Amino acid sequence: MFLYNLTLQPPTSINVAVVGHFSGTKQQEIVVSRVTRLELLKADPNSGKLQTLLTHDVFGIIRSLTPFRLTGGSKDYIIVGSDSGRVVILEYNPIKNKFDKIHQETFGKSGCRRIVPGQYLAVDPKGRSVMIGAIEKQKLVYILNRDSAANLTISSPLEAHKSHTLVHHCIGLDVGYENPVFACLEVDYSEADLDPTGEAFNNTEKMLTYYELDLGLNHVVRKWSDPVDARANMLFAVPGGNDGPSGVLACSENFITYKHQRVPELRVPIPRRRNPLEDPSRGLIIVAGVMHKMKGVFFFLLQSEEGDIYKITLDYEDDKVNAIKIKYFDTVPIAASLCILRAGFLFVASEFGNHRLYSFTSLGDDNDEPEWSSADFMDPDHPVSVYFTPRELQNLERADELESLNPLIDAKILNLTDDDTPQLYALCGRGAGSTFRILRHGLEISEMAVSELPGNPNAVWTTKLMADDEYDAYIIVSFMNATLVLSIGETVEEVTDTGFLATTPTLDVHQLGDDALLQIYPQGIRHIRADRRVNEWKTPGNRAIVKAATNKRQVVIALTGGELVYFELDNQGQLNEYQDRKEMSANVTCLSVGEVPEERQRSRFLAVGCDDNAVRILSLDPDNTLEVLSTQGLSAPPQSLSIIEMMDIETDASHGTLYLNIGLQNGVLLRTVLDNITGALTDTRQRFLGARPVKLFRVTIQGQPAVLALSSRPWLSYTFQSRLHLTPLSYDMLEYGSNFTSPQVPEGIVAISANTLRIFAVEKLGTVFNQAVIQLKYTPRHFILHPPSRNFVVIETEHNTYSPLEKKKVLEAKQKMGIQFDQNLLDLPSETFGLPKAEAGKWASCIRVINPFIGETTSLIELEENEAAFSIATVNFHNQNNESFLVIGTAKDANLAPRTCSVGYLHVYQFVDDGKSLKLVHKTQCDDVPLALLGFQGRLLAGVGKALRIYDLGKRKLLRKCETKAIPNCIVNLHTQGNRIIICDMQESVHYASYRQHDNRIIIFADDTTPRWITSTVMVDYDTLAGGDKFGNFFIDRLPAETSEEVDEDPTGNKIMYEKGYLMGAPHKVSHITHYHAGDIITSIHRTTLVAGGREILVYTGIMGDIGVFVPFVTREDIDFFQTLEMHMRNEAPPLAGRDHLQYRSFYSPVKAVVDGDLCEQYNLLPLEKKKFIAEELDRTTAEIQKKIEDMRVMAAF
Amino acid sequence: MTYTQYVSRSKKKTIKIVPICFVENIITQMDRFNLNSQLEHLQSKYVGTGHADTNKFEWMVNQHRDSYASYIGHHALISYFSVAQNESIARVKFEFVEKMLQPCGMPVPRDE
Repeated sequence: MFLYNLTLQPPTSINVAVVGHFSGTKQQEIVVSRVTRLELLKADPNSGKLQTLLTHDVFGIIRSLTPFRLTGGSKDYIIVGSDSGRVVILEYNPIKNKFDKIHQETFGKSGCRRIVPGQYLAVDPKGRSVMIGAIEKQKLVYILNRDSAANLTISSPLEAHKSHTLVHHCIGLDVGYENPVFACLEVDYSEADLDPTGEAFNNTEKMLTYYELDLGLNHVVRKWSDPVDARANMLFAVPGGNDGPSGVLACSENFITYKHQRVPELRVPIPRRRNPLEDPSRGLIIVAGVMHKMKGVFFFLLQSEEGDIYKITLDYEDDKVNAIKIKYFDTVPIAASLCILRAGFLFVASEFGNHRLYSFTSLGDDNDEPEWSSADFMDPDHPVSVYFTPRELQNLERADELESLNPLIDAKILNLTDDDTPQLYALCGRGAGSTFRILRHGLEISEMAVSELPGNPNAVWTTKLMADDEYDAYIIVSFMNATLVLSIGETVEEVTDTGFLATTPTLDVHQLGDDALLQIYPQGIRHIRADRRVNEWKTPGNRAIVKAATNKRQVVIALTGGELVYFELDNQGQLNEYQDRKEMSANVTCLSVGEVPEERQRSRFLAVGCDDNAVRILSLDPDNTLEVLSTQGLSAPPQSLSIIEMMDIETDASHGTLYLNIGLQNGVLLRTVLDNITGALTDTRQRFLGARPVKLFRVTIQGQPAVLALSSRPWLSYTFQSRLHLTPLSYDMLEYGSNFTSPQVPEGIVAISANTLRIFAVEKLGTVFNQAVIQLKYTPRHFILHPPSRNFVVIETEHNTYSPLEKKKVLEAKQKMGIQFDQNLLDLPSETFGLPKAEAGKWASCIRVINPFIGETTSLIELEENEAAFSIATVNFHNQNNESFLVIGTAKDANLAPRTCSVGYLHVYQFVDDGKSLKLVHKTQCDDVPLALLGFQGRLLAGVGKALRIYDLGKRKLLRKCETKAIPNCIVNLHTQGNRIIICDMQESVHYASYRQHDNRIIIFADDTTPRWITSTVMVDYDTLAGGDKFGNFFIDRLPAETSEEVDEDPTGNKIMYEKGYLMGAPHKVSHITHYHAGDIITSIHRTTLVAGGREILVYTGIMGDIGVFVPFVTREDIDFFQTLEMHMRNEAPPLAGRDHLQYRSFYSPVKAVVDGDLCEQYNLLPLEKKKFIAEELDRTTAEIQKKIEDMRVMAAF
Repeated sequence: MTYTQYVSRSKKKTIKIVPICFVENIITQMDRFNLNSQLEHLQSKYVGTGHADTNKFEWMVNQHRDSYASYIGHHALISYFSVAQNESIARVKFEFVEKMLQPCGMPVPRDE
C-alpha cells in the first residue's frame, strides 16, 4: 500500500499572532502561525472584516514569531522560531504575494528539544538584535543591521547560555538607543538537583535577569539579576527611552509587579471575578497581553486565564514610576495572542474556538469601573484579593470572526442528507464554548432576497444602462412566452417603458457600447439606443435564432440549421453585420465570446459548440473572420461555453490565463487553456459536477472574473490567492444565474430556481467547508449515531467543574453561612465567561441527544455524584431481539494522573420516543475506567482499564461472560470483524485477538513491535489497521497473510493458545505498512469516499482542526512519478521555516510509503524556471505535472 | 580489538600485521585521554549526556525534563493536555516549566 497525503482543511488553531507593517505600507497586517502554516491576514478598516492574503505550509512547527523593524525602516520583517534548529527571517513580498526567506542561520539540532533555542524569541524594540532562547540553558543573540545596499544583515550568534537554568519567558527590554537588553525569567535548578533534603528546592528562587548586549565589545553580559515572585510566569516590556520609564511588568499568580534595575518594585493584585463559586485558594495568572503606545501614552491589555482583560497604566514622572494601576476592561475568549491594530481593532487569536476581531468603542478611561493602584498594596505581608464584577462587553464590539474547529475532538463522516458528498459531523471546542458542527463541502453564501415570480422563468440577466455605471439598473427575466423587466432601486419593481420587447422570450441581454442595450429574441435583435431609438434586425425568412453570445462590442447569433451571423459595433454606435455568414456542419448548441480586453476593439475568439460532440474556436479577427482555428472533440454534446480570463498567474496581476470552460450535457465541466494568440486549445482538465447538464455563467467575485457552473448543484470557479478554485456552493439547485450589483449588494449573484428569483452573495472565499453549529455545554468526548432516528448521542465531560447539583449544594452551604451573593453573577452566559472552576477531581458530565437537522437537543441527562462519561456505543443485544441499546462507560471520582477512579459504571439506556430520549435500564459496576466499548456478536465488548470483557444484558445488570487481562496498560479503542478483535492499548500499540466461541476465550495472538500511544484507529480490512498516535504520527499495521490464515484455520484453537510468546509479547508480530508524521494528533480516522464515484480513501481529523486524506495509489507509475516529484520539490523548494521536509515527515520514525501531496502541490507556487527544470527532469511538460497533481486531488477528494 | 585493526578490517577485509602491542599501548592511552575529554565536552555541551555513575534517579529526571520540553514545544500535544485538564494552554505550559525544576521529587542521596 502506498498513500498520498493531502490536507483538505489546514489547522485552524493559532499559537502566535503578531501585527506589523509587513507589506511596507501604512496598512497594518497580522501574521499568524497556525503551527504548521504561516498566514497573513488583513483587517479591512472600513468593513472590519478579516481577509486572508496568504497562507503557506512550512512543514515544521512554528513555536514563536516576532515582527521586527530595522531602525529608521518602514517595513517589518518576520522572525520565526521553529523546530528546525534555525532562525529564519522572512519578508513579505506584496507584489508576488509570497514570503521571501532572507536569512536562515543554523544553530542546533532540529526537533522541539530542551536545549535547542526556538521556543522564545525576543527582539530589541529598536530593531538592533534578537534573542532566541530554549527552555533550558541556551540563549543566542544575533545582531541585525543593514549593509551599504540597505539589505538586512545578520551576525554570527553570541552566546548567553547559563546551564542548569530553566527559562519561563524572555522579552526585549525597551531601553531607547542604549545597548540592547533582554530580560529573562529564570530558575536555576543545579542546587535543588543535588540536595536530597529538599531544602535547596524550597529555597530556589525565580530570577529576573537582564542580559545586555554590548554593541561596542560585541558580547553579551549578565547585567542584573533579582529574585521575583516564585510563581511568576510572564514578562512585558514597559516603554523606555523617550516614551516611558523602561523596565518590565512581571506577571505572577495573583500579582503584577513592576521591576527595573535600581528602582523599588511596585505590585498590584490581579482583580478576581466576584463569584460565589470561586475558589479563593486558586491562583490567577496572566496568559496573554499586549502593550499599545500612542502619542506619548501607553497602556497594557493583559488577559487572565478566565478570559478577563485588564487595562494597566503606569503613573510615572520621567524615569520614576509612582504607581501601576489596574482595572477591568472586558471579557473575551482566552487568547493565545492579542494584537492591537492602529485602525482600532483588537485581534484575539483564541487558544480554542473561533478567533475574533473586535473594534474598540472606547479605551475604558471614563467608565465607573473601579481602579486599583499599587500605592494601596505596598505591604507584602498582607496579600489581599480584590474583586470586580464581570459584565457584557463595554469597550469592545465584535467585528468579525474566523471559524476554528480547534480542538477537534471527534468526528464522523456520514451522508445523512443524501447529498452528492457526505457531511462531516464534528465535536469541537472546550468547556462552555464547545460545539457540535456539521461541515459540508462548499462555499457559504448569504441569501439577500427571495421573491416569487408569476411563472417558471427560464433565464435571468442584469444589465447596466451605461458602460461606466457602477450598479445594475435592470433585471430581465425571460419566460416561455414573455419577458419581464424589473428595475433595481430601493425595491425591485416591474417597469414597462424600457424599450425591451415584453411579448417574446429573450435569448440574451447585454449592455452594448457606451450607452445602448441589446435584446436578442428568437425572431431578431433589438438594439436600444440611449435616446430610446430602437434598431431592429429581423431573422431572414422564418428561421429563428437558437443561440446568441455577446459582449459589449460584438454579437454572434446562431440560426436554426447551424448558420452563424456576426455583428460588430462600429465607432458610431451602429451594429453592423459581417458580410459573410458561416455554415456549421451540425446544429449549434452553445456559443461564447470572451469579454473585450481593455484597450482593444474586439475579443478575438468565438467558441461554438455543436451537437456533433465538438467545440470549435473561430477567429473574429478582421483578417480571417469566422475561420476555424482549432477544434476539440468531446465525450458528450456541449451544453454551455464560457471564454474567460482568470487571474491565476502570481507573477503578473494585470494579465491572466484565457480559459475555455465547456459544460457538457452529461454533467462534466471541462476547462481548457485557450492560447490568446493562436487560439489553440491545450491542457484540458475535467471535473464531474452533477447529474444535470452544466450551464455556465460569467460572474464577478471580488472584482475578478469567475464562472458560475450550474448542474444538480451550483459550483463556482474562481481565483483566490492566485489559485484557481472550483468549489460547490452550499445552496439549492439553480436554473440560471447572472451577476448582480446594487448599492445594497455590491457583489452578488441573481439566479432563478423553479419559480423564484434569488439574490445572494458568496462569502469566505478559499474555505473548503461551511459549518452549521450547535452549542454544547461541556467538552464533548465522543458521539454515536442512532441510525433509525438519525439522532446523535454526545457525551460531554468536564474536569475541574461543578455539576449542577454540586453547584447548588455549594451555594446552599454558602447561604447557610450567611454569605450574600448576587444572582446575576451566576447567570452570566457561560459561552463567554466560561464555567467556574472547581478543584481538581471534580467532574461535570452529561449525555445529550441531538437532532442535527433542526439543531435541537431532544434530551439531556446530567450525570451526578462526580461521575464522568468517557465512552459510548450502541449494542444490539442478541437476547433482546437485537434491539439497539446505548451503553455508556463512566467513572466516579476519576483522577487524571495517575489514572484511577473509585468505581466505574456501565450505564445501559434504551432509546425511547423514536430515539429522541433515553431511558436508563440499569447500571453495572466495574473496577476501572471503561474507555472503550463495542457491540460484538450481540453482546457488549468493553475495555475496562487493562481488562477486556464480554458482557451480556441481564435483567438487573450486565453479566460478565468472558475476560482477558493480557493488555499491558489500558484499552482505548476496539474493532471487530467476525471472530477477530483488534485491541488498541494506550501506550503499547495494537493487539490482535481471536474470540474462540467453543471455549469462550479471547486469545491475543499478535501485537506490534513499536510502542504507540494510540488515539484513534480504523480497521481498513480484516488484517489491516490504520491509526494515529499522540505524537502526530499516522501508521498502518497489517497482520501477515500467512499468520492470519494460520490463526483462522486452527480448528482446535490449541495451537495459538499454547504458542510461545515472542519478544516478551504475543507469538506473532504485525508488519508496518506505512508510517508518516501528520503534524497533528489524529483524533478520528475513517475509511470512506468523499466524492460521488470516487475511490475509497482514509480521512482523518486532527486536534488542531485540520482535516486531511490519505489516497491509495493505483499504479506503480504514479508512485514513481510522485516520489520523484516529491524528491525534486524537497530540493527546489525547501520549507520556509528551515525544517528539512524529509526529517519533518520522519519526526519520530522514518516516513514509509507515503508521499506528501501538500509538498507536491507547492509545485504550482514555484517560479517558472524551476517548474520547467523539474518538468524536464520528470520528462513531462509543466502542464502535465500540474494536471496530474490536480487530478490526484479531485479524483478522491476536494 | 584495537581501533586500527577495526578500521583495517572493515576497509580491506584482510588484517595487516602490525606490531600490536606497541601501537595498542599508545592508542589506548590516547584514547582514554581523548575519550574522557570528549565525554566531558559532550556532557557540558549536551545536557543529560550520561556517565558511568548516572543513577536511575538522574536518568529519570533527565527523561522527564526532556519530555516536558517536548510537550511545550509541540502545540498539538500541549492542546491535548490542556483539553484533558481543562486549563488554559498558558497555565499548562507554566506548570510544566515549573515541574521541570524537580520532576521526580527529592533527589536520592548518592551512595558513595
